[in-house]
Amino acid sequence: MITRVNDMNSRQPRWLLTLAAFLTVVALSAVALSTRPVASWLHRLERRPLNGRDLGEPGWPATFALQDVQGRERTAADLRDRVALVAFGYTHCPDTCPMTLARLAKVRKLLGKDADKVQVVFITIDPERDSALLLGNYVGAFDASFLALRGSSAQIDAAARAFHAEYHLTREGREVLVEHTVDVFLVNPQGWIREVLPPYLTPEEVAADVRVELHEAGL
Amino acid sequence: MKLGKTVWGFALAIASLASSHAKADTVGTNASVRATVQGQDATAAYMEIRSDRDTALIGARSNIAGHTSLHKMQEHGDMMMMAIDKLAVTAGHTVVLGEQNYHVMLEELKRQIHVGDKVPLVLIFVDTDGSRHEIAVEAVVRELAAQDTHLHDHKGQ
Repeated sequence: MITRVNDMNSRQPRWLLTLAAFLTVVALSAVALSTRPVASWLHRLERRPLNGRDLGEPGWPATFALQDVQGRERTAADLRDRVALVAFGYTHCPDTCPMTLARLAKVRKLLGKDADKVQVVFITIDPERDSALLLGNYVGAFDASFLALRGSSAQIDAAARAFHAEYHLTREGREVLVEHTVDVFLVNPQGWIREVLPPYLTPEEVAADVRVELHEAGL
Repeated sequence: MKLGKTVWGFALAIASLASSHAKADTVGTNASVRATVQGQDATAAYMEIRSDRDTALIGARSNIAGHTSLHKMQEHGDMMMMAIDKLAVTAGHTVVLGEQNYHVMLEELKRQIHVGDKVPLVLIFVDTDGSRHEIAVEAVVRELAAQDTHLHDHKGQ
């Protein structure tokens, strides 16, 4: 009985088994690759190493509803055809905000013919002191193309939450103490926050990351 | 009497010369201030400070600003800017107040600051023995959008 079974097995062609095993592996791989977690994991492996902090797939949704200095309503939908570099700050900010905006102006210059495919956005965290006029003057001093946004405290809080941007604004009599993140956030054309760009990155490093995102977006 | 007065005057002159010499061993160089746009009421001053003795910068004054303070950029998770009480200056070492580390914040500006202006600053120090001294520094004004100078030397993480 046992001998017979063995005989039957030995009669099966070995190549057929190998082929079956191979086809099983291929089928399972295809199923695995089509699932979102594995696809995104592979996609990330493919990604060129970024200089900023990659937030992975898909990132954070860049939800905000603010006003530009002309009073028009602006949302992430206005940035759909470009990569956006979003910074939070305020005009009273003496050091980091000018530095960040100067750096972003340089990034735009470095991008050359692709400069119009990137939109720098500066969101004030101090709308009480930053009138539309002052904010427009200030941001425009760095690059006329920069988009300056303001809103009510609630709107700004909501935007900061979406970007995980930390800020504290405390009023002590006449004094206003402000602590805020100096990171810049990269938003892809689909409206996802994909990267956090720390302040020590050079304009060249930021421009390189923008190019990666533009390439991925087919722009 | 007249001679006495003259001697006194001479002695005082020497004393003041000696004291001004003593003060001169703390120096501020390469001072600069960022220009402002109309309506902007704050900016920052940067400089290098060197002293022959251990001292600490505790504040500053300027006739163009109603309020000044010392600020430091600090990293705790994110980079944050915060006010500090003093900045230690070790004898023989140059302390750089540059972008992304320290600056003197000038607030309640009395006028717009234009490129090419000169901004007078008085820096206030306290030595380790508790004695105060001040030095005058004249800062040049550079563009609001000027690219940083003292940057990226502490790139890390």
